[in-house]
Amino acid sequence: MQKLKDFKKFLSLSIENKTVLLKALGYEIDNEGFIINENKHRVICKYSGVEVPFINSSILPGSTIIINTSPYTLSKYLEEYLEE
Amino acid sequence: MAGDNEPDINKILGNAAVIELDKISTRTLSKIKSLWLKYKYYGFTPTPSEAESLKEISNNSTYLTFTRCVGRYEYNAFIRIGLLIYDLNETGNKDRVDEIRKYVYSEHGNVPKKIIQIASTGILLHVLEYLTNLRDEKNLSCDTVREEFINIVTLWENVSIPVSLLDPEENIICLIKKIIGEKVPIFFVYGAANAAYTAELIVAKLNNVKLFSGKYLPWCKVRTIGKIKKIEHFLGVFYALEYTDDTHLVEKF
Repeated sequence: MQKLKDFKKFLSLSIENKTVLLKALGYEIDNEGFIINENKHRVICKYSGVEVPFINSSILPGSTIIINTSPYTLSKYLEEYLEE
Repeated sequence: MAGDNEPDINKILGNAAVIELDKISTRTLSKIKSLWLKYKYYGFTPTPSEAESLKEISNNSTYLTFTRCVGRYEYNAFIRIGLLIYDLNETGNKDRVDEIRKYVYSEHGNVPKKIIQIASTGILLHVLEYLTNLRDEKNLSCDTVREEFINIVTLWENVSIPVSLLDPEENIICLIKKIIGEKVPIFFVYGAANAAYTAELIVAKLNNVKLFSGKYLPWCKVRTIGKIKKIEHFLGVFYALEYTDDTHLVEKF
């Protein structure tokens, strides 16, 4: 797995800006508040294996990774992308 | 947030966000995507402060010792979460500690629960020191040390005696005698803050009356831990003498 050498910081994003970024990355939000992909399937968090609600989603660099945010999923992301 | 030559993605997103979502041009969306894929500087999360704390743990000496000692494996995330809880406890963020514990205990089962218990109390550092010594003395591989760690975690409730000021000294001594009678391969006695001194005193007393003699080899350490509040911790590791030959402990469990 390619590590992110230039990563600087985790930040928050306003709801409006987050919606635009998700759209640019090919995602939308369904009427129950979950993130869906271009095929209209709900996105599954690669670390927790659950559907990702917009409100609790993290958008992380290293392709177009969307995770269901928790200390566990963030830890797994850090191990995979930011640690040597 | 952007540097001199770095596009400010938040500003670009903000400019696009004033337009109705369905009316944002494909060109603008493509530009945002290409910038996002090119400049991998930031991660957007609802919990940036906690994410930063988790990131900082990558440089925490306990975490680094752990990864050096046992390598990378599926439970590393729980060590990190345990260390996060330790930091949150130090800053008095009890509500968040309770939330995280509840979530992990319900989602991830018993071994992660015990790992978090050990990592969040400051005992982990002592256990790691014991494992590092064991690895160096016996020239053990990461895989073997990892097995040893999991054995300790799995047996934790049966082989650990936390010393609290609320417990009468006689009760602690009874527990230690009981555990010795059970002939476990290894056990731990530990205490923090004022109880560290009590734990140390009890172990010294029992050592003086030669309770461990011929049965267990004590390995004791007092250490001061904490970034904000300095707290003294005592840990005694006792490993059965019959298991201290050229084989390592993990084979005896």
